[in-house]
Amino acid sequence: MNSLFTAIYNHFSATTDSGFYNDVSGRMYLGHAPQGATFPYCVYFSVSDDNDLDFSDEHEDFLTQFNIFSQNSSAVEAGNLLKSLKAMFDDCSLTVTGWRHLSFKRGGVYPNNDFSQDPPIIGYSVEYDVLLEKERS
Amino acid sequence: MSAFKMDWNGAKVLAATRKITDRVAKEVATDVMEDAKSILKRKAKTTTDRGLLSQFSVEKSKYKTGGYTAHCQGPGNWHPPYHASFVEMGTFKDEPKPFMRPATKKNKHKANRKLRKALDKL
Repeated sequence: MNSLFTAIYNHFSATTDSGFYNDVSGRMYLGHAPQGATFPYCVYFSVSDDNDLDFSDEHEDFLTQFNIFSQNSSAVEAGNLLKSLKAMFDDCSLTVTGWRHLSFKRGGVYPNNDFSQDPPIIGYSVEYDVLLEKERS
Repeated sequence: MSAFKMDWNGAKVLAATRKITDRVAKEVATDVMEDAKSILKRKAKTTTDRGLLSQFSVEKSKYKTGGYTAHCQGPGNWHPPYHASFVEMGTFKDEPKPFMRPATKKNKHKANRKLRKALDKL
């Protein structure tokens, strides 16, 4: 699991001066964001139940989710973040230590807003299905 | 030469198959619900999260494809309460604690096996 998260972060930080990294100013957190994190930011995590993953299988199928949040009266910033997240991760190629990376397919995209905040929080939850195959020596 | 006709009792076979798939679909939805409950039980940290444990149900699907669906906080709730979706997806304030999707994934292969086994007995 760690090697997949490392691969995702390495892919994210490969290009820093433009694209998604630049749009969130490098703020992509694993699991949860620190309290009071500056907007906009992204949180990524595994949806798969860790108890079901033992890495003994030849293939592993993970569901990974990215939550992006913007605090802005306009929905434009969140929309742009979604666009650049898709540009970075849709069908991307990852280098996962010990595994051969097969696919990174986007699944559902769901709104994740909180209009009780001022300015409102506008966000999206984006699912990706990741398929890995054990590397043979 | 007279026309060849064979009655394969299609209506009866289809009705029997439908009965089996319906039963298995309900069993699978119940399995998903139970697994989702146990995952949530493990991950729930607050009283509100734990309160969801009593709000699970299995409903007959209203979609054309039929079958059954496992729910937490009732079907088609596009109005409050939203708490189950906050726990499942995470919010800007709360860490995500997915329980429905892992339970569904866990039962994917089991559902195929169950259906194959039930149809073999037909």
